[in-house]
Amino acid sequence: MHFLLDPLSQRGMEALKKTAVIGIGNTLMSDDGAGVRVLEHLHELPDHVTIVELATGGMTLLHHLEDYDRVVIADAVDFGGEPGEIRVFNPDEVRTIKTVGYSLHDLDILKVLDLAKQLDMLPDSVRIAAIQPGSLEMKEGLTPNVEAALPELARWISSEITGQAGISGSGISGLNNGKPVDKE
Amino acid sequence: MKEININVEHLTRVEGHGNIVLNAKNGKVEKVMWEVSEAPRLFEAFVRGKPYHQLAQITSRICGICSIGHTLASLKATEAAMDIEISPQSELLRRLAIHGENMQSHILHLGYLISPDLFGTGSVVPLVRTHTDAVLAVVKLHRLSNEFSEVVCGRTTHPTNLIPGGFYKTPSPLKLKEYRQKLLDSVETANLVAGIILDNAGALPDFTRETEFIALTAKDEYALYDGLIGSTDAGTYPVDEYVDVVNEFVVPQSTAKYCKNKREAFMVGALARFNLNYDHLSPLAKQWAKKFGLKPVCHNPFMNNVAQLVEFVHSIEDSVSLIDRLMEDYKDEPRPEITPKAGRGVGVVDVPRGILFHEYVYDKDGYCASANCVIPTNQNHNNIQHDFEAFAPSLLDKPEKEIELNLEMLVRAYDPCISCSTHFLNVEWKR
Repeated sequence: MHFLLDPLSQRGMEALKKTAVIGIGNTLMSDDGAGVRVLEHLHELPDHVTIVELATGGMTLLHHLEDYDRVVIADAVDFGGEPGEIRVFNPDEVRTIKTVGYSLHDLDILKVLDLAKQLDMLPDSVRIAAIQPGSLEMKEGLTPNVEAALPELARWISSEITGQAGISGSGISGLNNGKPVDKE
Repeated sequence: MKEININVEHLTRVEGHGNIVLNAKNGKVEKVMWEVSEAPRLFEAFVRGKPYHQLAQITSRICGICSIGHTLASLKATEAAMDIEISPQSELLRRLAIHGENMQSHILHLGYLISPDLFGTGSVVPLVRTHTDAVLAVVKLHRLSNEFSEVVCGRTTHPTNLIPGGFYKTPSPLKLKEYRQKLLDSVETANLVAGIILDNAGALPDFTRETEFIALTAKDEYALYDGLIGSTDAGTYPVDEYVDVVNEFVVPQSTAKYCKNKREAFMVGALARFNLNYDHLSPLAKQWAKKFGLKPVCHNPFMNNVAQLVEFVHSIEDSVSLIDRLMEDYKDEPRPEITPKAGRGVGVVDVPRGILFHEYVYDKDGYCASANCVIPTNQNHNNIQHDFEAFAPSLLDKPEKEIELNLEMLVRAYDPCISCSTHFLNVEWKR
């Protein structure tokens, strides 16, 4: 007799999806590196989850998308919030593409995601786990508010992966329940 | 007669910052200039006082595109300075590393930066809709090139596995075999991309100015990893004499140095290698050269793009045969142990944009006392300027936008990596 989770249930299917957490940013540009630094806070992830430190990989984001059913992209995003504030959203939920993407190579990840969509390389699910930067100066290290928010951002990424909704009630400040970012 | 004033600030689809200036009046060019405005990089000063095992790691950061090339030039300079020998297996593996990088860089340049000029679009984005299969093929080849580099070098960019004396860890034979197959499978995709470029190659201007070409050259291979300094004007030079070949000098309009040898300027890169080493290209590479009408010695700088394509195919074929040679007797080799000693060494490799030199002097404990790096794009700036002077007068009848595009395409054909080329500023320049 086996007591297994029903493999065909919704939760079971979620668990089988090949998932990647992709960290984007430049750790030499202060808070721009938050999307990379948060990867250090991701522990005990399930086997089907791969962590990709893309950093300033730019167009090579394309190469990582087609291998996964589900991708969570961690990045510093200026959505006009307070430094360290977190938002999690779908790419098509943001209105201005200029909102996202600080890179020395000046590449907008939303543009890459749009290219991927047109090339039919987009995973079933793409979520952007965004953190508001406080400074984008050319220096190592995050500003205190952003550094302090990394564990929270990591918890959000984990909850995206596991599909557990537990965190939404945890009172994370500024969290918009994944609603569209209103830039204008 | 019309007056033409073109000022392209921060030319796009090249790495780094450069400007184009053209002023013409009454059908005469008054001023045409290729300006390099990047800040100096100071790497030669950074490495002074650093231990030998850090030099390749530091200097690989000169570039995010040809970091494998910088690593190899650096390792070869260190190994030459300390009389360190590497195993035949490591030599073959390093040849794979340089092929991987050539493939990465060439497909990125052709697929993302040059194709918009061939199709008359401003960027690659509109091509995604109109030429979806071609863009997918480029993405596929770029990905393969990156992954292949990672298998050999530990990382696609800023490699971790290449160290003085050989390899930190012998690359997995299973992975090498896997990528041998993937390389073979990619030939069809490469042919598809080459065919599309051929169909649109008419967009490349027919412009010729005779110049000197300088590249590594060897008797028995298409030289990328090792050889002598070859010149289409002057035969060969020993690597140690590179300073007297590149003859760096400074000009007011550029933070990067200029170079010249036998003529007023010379060119390095894929076309220079093609011109000097054509006989050693792989069979399929020669076939593609023929289809494009590319023959040595070709003096049209726009054909550097085609030479890159030819080299891409060559790198696929040569990598497959190198892996076959490696697998005849592949061993898990121990990590090399180095005893530092004092000395001076020059390292040379021919990387995507051309011949690259690193030279170091070490003290008896293996700390760097002085360094000199001569980057390919540096060696090309002067040739770009001379091409401008020859090309611009022939363009004056065209609409301004078209003149601008032609000059931009000329710079892009050199695939310049401008940030790499701006480095150690010399006090003479400031006077």
